[in-house]
Amino acid sequence: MNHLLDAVAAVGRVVLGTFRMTGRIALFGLDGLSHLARPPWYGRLFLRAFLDIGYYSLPVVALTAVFTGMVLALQSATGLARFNAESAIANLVVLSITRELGPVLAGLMVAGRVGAAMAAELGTMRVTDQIDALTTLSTNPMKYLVAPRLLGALLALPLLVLVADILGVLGGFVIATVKLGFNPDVYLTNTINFVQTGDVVSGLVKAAVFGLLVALMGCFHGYNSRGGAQGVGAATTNAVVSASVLILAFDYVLTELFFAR
Amino acid sequence: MSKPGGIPKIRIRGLHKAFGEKVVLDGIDLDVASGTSTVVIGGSGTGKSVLLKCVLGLLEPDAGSIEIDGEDVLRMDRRQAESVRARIGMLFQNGALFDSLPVWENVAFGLLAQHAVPNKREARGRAEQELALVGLAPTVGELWPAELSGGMQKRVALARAMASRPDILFLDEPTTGLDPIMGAVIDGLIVDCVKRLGSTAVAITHDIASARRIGDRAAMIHKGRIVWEGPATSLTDSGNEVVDQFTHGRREGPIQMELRR
Repeated sequence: MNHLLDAVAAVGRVVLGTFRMTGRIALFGLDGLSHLARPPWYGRLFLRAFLDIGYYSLPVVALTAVFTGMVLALQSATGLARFNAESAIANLVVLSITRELGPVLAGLMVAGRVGAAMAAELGTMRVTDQIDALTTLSTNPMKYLVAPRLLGALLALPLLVLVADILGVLGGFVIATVKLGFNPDVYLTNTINFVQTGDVVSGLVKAAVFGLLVALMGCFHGYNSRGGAQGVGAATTNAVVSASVLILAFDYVLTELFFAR
Repeated sequence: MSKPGGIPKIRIRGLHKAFGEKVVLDGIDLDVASGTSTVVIGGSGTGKSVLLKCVLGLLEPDAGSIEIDGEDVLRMDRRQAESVRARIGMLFQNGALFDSLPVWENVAFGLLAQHAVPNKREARGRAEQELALVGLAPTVGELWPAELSGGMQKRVALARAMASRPDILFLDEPTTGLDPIMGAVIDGLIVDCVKRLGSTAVAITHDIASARRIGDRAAMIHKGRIVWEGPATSLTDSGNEVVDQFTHGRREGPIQMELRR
């Protein structure tokens, strides 16, 4: 009986801990976002975050998108051939890239690259008292460190995904026309005719949400890190893992919201 | 420690702070007279830094009062407390310079945040003046914190703490990690700066030589309470067994170091 109670208590502790953590993250995010509505604003820091997340992530996201589009075309060619439906390759590639793979893969890449960097930077600032120093110099650390990163990620990721969408479709186009022998004009016409504004917009909305999640996790874990180098390392790992899991979970929720009938 | 009949610059009464089960401050009472330098000494983990962080508003005490110029900062609204604390300069133990900013921007950070200078050019000029006061050439302003030695980082941090002409200056272990000569240099700079500005200084340290050089008055913190107060010059012959053990570095006595397994 005691073992059963211990097990129930352990589960209870985990559940309560999860709720507590969710609440803390939500309050942290709201606090960070609320500073966007109140001056002073740090334009230079926003620009830096925007460039870090958007511009400097472009190569890794572009490569991921191109190769994903290429693989998708190749895989769908072999799969669709079983039903004599090869003509649907263009439709499948553009739909998969714009609705799902563009935002999800860009989100995961940015989580690994930018989320980790945010957590490490803020974590180091925390354990070396730089965040406390900001407070003593009449500067709110949430406004100075967190708000520009949240806004930067929120705006940069949709742009990044727009580029990823184009390059992903391009990757599929190259494989379909060069390797599989599709007529380029027909392939492009199929792509353009099939894709709808809603497909692209839903992907961009997802991207904005994923950007916010990546920055929120990076900032939250970095800002609250403790215990020197080990704490910063743990914060970095937690930021990447939690952002990646949340991206996949929110992807399902948003897909349900946009496309479930 | 206040002047007879006068209001002390800082008056702390019954300050309590615990982290979970661990009681760190257990009813601190301390007065600091205007224009004097007070040194708080005590072993590692006795709550000296926690005491400073409570006064600075970086930690919220569990109970007690902290009056600055007769007004309890714990009962002020956020804006009032921020304006009082804007008059406090802080030198952190490890300098806590912002890695992402060059030295001059570190020094001018508080001036810009408080709009004490009209533009960045003026701020840079003021930063160079402050650097000169701590014996550093204007060219140091161009460097990054990582390019400085430990002693230079302390000087830059002191320049930053003094830049906005604070009423009150807090110094957290100002000589820790420095060789004895550099320690004496930093102490000399602190004394000069405090005299020049007429500030009230509170330093925490376990360097007795430094305490005697910086302080007019001294207080010993032990088991979360102030157990002795007196002139800094009488630290080595205080007649208090806790202070005697600490200042003479004896293993035997009322201070028992915690052994952790």
